[in-house]
Amino acid sequence: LALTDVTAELGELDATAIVVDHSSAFAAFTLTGDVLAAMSRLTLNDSALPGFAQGLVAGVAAKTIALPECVHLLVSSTYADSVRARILSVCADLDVEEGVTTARVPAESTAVT
Amino acid sequence: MTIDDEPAVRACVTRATAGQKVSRGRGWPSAEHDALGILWRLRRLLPVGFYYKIFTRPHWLWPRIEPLIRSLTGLGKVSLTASPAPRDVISVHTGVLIVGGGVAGLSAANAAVHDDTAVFLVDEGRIGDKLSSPLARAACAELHAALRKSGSATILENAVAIGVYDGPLVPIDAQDRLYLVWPERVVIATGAVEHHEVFPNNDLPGVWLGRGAARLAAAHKVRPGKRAVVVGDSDETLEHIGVLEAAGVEVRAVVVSGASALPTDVRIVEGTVASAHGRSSLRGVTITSASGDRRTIPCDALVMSAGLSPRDALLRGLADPWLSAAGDVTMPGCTLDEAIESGRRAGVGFPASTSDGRPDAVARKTAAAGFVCLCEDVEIRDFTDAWTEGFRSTEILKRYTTSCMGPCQGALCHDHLVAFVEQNAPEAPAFAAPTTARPPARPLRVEDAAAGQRFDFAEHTELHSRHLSLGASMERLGTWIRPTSYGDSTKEYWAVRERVSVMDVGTLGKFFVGGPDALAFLECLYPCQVGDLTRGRSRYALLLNEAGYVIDDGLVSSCGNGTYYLTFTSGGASHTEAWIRNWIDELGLRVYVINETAARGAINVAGPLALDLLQHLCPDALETSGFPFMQMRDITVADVPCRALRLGFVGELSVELHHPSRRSTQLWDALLDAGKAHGLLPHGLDALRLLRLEKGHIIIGQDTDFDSAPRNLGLDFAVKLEKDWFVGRDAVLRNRATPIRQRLVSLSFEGPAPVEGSALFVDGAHVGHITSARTSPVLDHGIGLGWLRPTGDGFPTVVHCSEGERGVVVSGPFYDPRGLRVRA
Repeated sequence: LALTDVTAELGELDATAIVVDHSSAFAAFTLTGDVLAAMSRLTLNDSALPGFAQGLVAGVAAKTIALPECVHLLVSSTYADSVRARILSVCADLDVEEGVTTARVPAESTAVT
Repeated sequence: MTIDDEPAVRACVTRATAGQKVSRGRGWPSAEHDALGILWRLRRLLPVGFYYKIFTRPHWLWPRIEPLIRSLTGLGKVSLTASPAPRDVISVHTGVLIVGGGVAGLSAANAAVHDDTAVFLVDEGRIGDKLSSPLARAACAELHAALRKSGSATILENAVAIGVYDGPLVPIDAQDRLYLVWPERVVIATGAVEHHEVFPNNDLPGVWLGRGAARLAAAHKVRPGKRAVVVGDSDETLEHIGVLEAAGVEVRAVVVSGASALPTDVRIVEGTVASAHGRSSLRGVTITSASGDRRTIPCDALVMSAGLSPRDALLRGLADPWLSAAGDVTMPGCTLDEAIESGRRAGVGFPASTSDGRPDAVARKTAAAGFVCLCEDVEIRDFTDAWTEGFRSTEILKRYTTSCMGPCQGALCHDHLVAFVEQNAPEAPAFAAPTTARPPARPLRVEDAAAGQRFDFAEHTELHSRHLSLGASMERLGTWIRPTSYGDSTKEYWAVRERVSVMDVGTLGKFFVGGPDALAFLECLYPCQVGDLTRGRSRYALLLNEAGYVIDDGLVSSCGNGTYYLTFTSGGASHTEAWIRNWIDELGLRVYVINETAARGAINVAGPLALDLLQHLCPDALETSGFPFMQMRDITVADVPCRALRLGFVGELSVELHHPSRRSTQLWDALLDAGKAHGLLPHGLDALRLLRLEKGHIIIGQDTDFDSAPRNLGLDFAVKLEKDWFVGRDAVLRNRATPIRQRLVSLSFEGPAPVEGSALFVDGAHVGHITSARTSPVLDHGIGLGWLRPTGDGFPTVVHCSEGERGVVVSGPFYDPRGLRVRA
């Protein structure tokens, strides 16, 4: 329904616009806890400031949404296994624990605390 | 030293830990009793540059002699079996990075903290460890405590700054990981090192720099010797004497260069060190007075405290506003108060000044003999020889003799190099300019340089776990991990040829293209016609570069309303996306491109029963008349919305089901479940390679080369030169006007297939090679594709492989040449 609505509304603005359901393209990870320490192991980007950024995270292209209490990572779903393994590996010294999937993130996501 | 199988470790700055396996360098029969020490007596015959002068002719000599020479160098042996330890990278963004945790560095850190600046401080040892003076240690401890109390600083010990790069970026080697520090400002407080004096036998064990000897005695409670002679007349010399005596060392004399009022009870001797004596360690030292008198003092420790040289390798050549310096590195020999004040100033951003207090190199005199560079075994006579040969500036002397190029990077010998040139060419001060210091300032393991790079990234489709649970053997293809076989590739092959099979082809590049200029763009991108594609029709398409060479292939399908669905090879998707977007920009067209490679999974259902199987799971009618070859339809299979494409890469009726990738497992499970009644088996890459070869279909990258034009590949049907323009058209026209130099041909063999890659011969002359070869189960003989060059009689029709297999050039596909099965 959302896709239909968006298509209709966007179509009024630009009849040639493309609207596709791209949700399968991404895997989402949510980092909580000592997020700054975790992100310093995963990316060269400065993650201290809240907001949206794009760049290499865990070695792959990623979108990050940094909030005061957590960081959401969006990566290509094809790299989900690699990114998960990378997070668990480089954050091992932070006693990383793999949490349960929550309703706030898409179904294929893994929450890491 | 070799520590834990790692050779050439700087043991003098490496912390000892329990369980370490430490050994000396190599010697024969042992390092302690080295018969090859005879080479030292032959050193006159081994001048600097010896190897390059002697072994240049004949050319074959050096490769043979080099291993022998290297085995005699006394260096440790690199383990060929040890796996490098993977190192991780930690990226740090901070306000100020302070390199050096002495009094000045800690003062700078406290000042920065008071200035509300985030501080990251690193020291190559432990904070305060290098200080021997009680006053300095107390000041250091106080500053350290204040900094820790502030809670606003990160302190990293046993970590070495590799270099200061633009950015600024400072890599820090912390043994088990590499820190990449991105500070707003950098403060260098790396201190100074005492002058290393040059005199005969100055490399004997027992000859110490004062701070090293004092640190050993004060911090580590190890006596550097029993009877010491100390050289120097500064306040620091007095401190060293006190520390040594407190540690139980008998200081037998203090050598001063002129009249001295040094307040000490120790005997003062005026003069300079003429030479040290001893065989394997120091036994005594000869002092020469200004009048030429010589006297020898027995001792087992010679402690040099004759002035300081700044450890400024991180500073030299930099003059950036974000760079400051503090303490001995800018003012060698400064007092405690001066160090604290300079640190305070640097901590709040005052720029560096390396001229303050810098020792005057002109005043230094070079000796007649002795080691200048202890790291690289360069003696003063090597300088002299090189000078005679015409190497007459600091930079080229450094390169020729390799002085300043060892682990300490000139900390000990750089001043001697400068002084030597100044002394020999006083008329040309430019020749004596300080050499350029470049990172790394400290030795760096290759595994440290590769930190963060040893993680194996791979792409998985959503069906990866399903493949593993079916027992598939997997292989890496580009960035993808794909199933090779599920156990028996021959059975998988026959499932495709006789019944029905499925394959995970979600790795294919998949793009959705739209926008007002979409068609115009695709006509430019592809050499085939696109505009005549009606909604739902698909066409095989090549992707050419400007040189007219094939860089990828795939399908272009019309989705109606000016939108198109493109597919490309699995390995080409990421490059193709960049290629497409670049041409959109280049042509200035309004085109929207969505890379759906990750968003869409794809399963190829292939075999004569493919439509029967799908019909069981699909509410729409799928008879072949309504869903012909090279047609695309939106259908629902097992409740999963699919974009279905009728294709024939494997030579049988095939339907590729492109669907939302998060529903791949649902679709896969339903197909396998329903397919049991049809004898379905999934097939992997092994079967695919054979199936497509029987059909004569090429694999880009395996059967093509970087310069494969459509004409050479027999793919002219995919190039429409009647189009006004497309990428590569001009090159294709040029190519067609020239004689064809090589051609990809189909080869049929009487027996089993030759090895892929085999060379092809005609009458013993090499005419090409095999790119793909398999023994065809359905034909019961070998088949292959290969590149052939023409001989004098044109292109050969019969060739022989290197193992003798006879191949006949045939035309068309080996299997179903009329394409009846794919169109069924």
